[in-house]
Amino acid sequence: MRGPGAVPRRLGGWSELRRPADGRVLAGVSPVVAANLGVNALATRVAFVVLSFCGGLGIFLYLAGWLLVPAEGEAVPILRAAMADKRTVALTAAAASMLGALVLAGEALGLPGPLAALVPGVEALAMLVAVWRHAGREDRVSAQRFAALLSAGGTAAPTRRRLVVTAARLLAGLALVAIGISTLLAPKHLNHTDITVAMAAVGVIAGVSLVLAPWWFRLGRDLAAERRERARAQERAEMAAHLHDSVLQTLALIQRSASDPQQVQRLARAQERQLRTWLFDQGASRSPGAAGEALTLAQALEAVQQEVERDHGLRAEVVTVGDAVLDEGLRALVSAAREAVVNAAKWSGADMVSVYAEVEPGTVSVFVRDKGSGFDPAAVAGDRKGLSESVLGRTRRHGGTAAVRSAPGKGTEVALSMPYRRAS
Amino acid sequence: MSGHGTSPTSGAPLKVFLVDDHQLFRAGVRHELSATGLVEIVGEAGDVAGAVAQVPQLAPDVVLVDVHMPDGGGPEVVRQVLATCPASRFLALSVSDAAEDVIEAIRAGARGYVTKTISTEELLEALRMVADGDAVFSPRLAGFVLDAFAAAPGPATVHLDPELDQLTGREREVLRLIARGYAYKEVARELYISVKTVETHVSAVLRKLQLSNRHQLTRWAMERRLVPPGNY
Repeated sequence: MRGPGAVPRRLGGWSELRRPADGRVLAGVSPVVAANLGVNALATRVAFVVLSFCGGLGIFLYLAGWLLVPAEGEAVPILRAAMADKRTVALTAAAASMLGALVLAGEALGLPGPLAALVPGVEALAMLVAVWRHAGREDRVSAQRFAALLSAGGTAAPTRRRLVVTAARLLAGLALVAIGISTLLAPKHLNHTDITVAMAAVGVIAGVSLVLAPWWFRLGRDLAAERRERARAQERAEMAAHLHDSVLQTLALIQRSASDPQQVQRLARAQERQLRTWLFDQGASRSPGAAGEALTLAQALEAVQQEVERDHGLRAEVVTVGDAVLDEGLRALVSAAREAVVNAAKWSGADMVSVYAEVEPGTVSVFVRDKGSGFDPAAVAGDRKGLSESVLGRTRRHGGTAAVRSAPGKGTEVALSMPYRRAS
Repeated sequence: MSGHGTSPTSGAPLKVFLVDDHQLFRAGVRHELSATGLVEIVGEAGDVAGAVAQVPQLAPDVVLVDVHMPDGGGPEVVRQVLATCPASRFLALSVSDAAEDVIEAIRAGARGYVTKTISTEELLEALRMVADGDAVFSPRLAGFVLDAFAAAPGPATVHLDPELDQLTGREREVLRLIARGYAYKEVARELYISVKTVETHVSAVLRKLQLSNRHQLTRWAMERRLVPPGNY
């Protein structure tokens, strides 16, 4: 046997043919053919594309290659696996017959050309079903790309090919629409049966779909990708904010109390416990400020007060007007408020901080104020993430507003507010 | 303090009477306040009976009274002394912050309430203000009042006096800033009004708090019983 990287290769017999895992555009059929015939893989690919316009012959041959030649690392070709599975056979037959029926119905109604071009579509569909159900992971991706290419929405295909396919698809779609509309409008068809009219209408719809489907598909896919990306970015920011709040804070505390081994041990143990809870108890509250059992805003702020007074030796006066059951936004608000209090403990030099929370219809506001040294908000170093990320950024990411009022010598007030819908 | 130069008592030391069942706490307060030279502790009592017996004779400027004591606590002291000596002025001092007790002390007639964690300077300022007849609202008391008066009056309260049972917009603004930790001076600057005006608003709120007929006030305070800090 040859090494896995030996592509292209000289092959002794058909049974030894394998579609390579790398160097493939779709399913790796072209490299196999090219290696066997001793020609360039690109030439083979061009040949397949050209043949595709001869009644879909290229597509048929390509799919046949896909089904008959096993992928690298596989013992049997997809076709054999597919034939052994009754459900695949049934599914394939069903899909093929459905498409075939549509084509025949079109022929019977005297709609020429475009519908006849669906014959290779029937083959392609049947073969793709087989591939889909029995291919390995690599081939599944390829099948997806192949299907996308057939609908001209594929991004992997070379530009020129995509242009040609797109043009063909547009022509076919517009022709369908034109035929459908003319069938509907032509006076000589007025006495036709309802079925004719329905078929014409279906034709119009199919035509429009054919023209627009790739665009819909692409649009949906882009939206999904964007949403995923945004969710990932948000997750990363949350994670960074959490690590800043918990681990970095603890490390700073440990540095400060390096001379007291017991204190260091206590801090490290507490941090370890907390991090464990956060990492492995995903169901529980993720905010370090709110103790796991805090259910309402007042309880969570009470927990923040106790925690800050214990860890930072800062007196916190917490006043809550009204109360609200914590939701995601309010948890973020509490975490941000907690971080603002910790900031005051670390930087302001004040021995006391006031926390005021008020629940109003639709909004919850929290004010964190100290009468300490204050600072110039415009001159905060960029790597001091506490204020910009953990307080302001976190609140805004959850749809709230946040502002800092401070000046050197004038103390600091952080004002946070979060939209809130009372669950009643 | 610049906003308070008009105080009639600013010359002589303030005469203060201490009521607290913790002897150690009384000693601490006595020491701290005496050290300022601005306060004279004219007497102290460890229970309700002792306070009720001594205060009318000593006629202090302010009675500093702990909210939590056996036999009815601070509110009982305030009620009984006011019955015989209506000119007395009381500042309530509390450690637990239970709304129920604080509101009760205010309703009994105390002119203000501060927490035991208050700094000596702040306590001195609060005593002066009460001696002058002003009201002293800590952030927490401001929060309590906002909370208690925020609840929309239900059908059962229509017969009540709207003058007494609602806060004006300005009073609300003042209370909010106090709850956020602003001193009266800072409230005045924030709202572009004089300190005297702030004091007027706060006194008006105190009066409403003491005279309001809202029976829900008590019920609200009961429901709002907070978990005392320290049992972490």
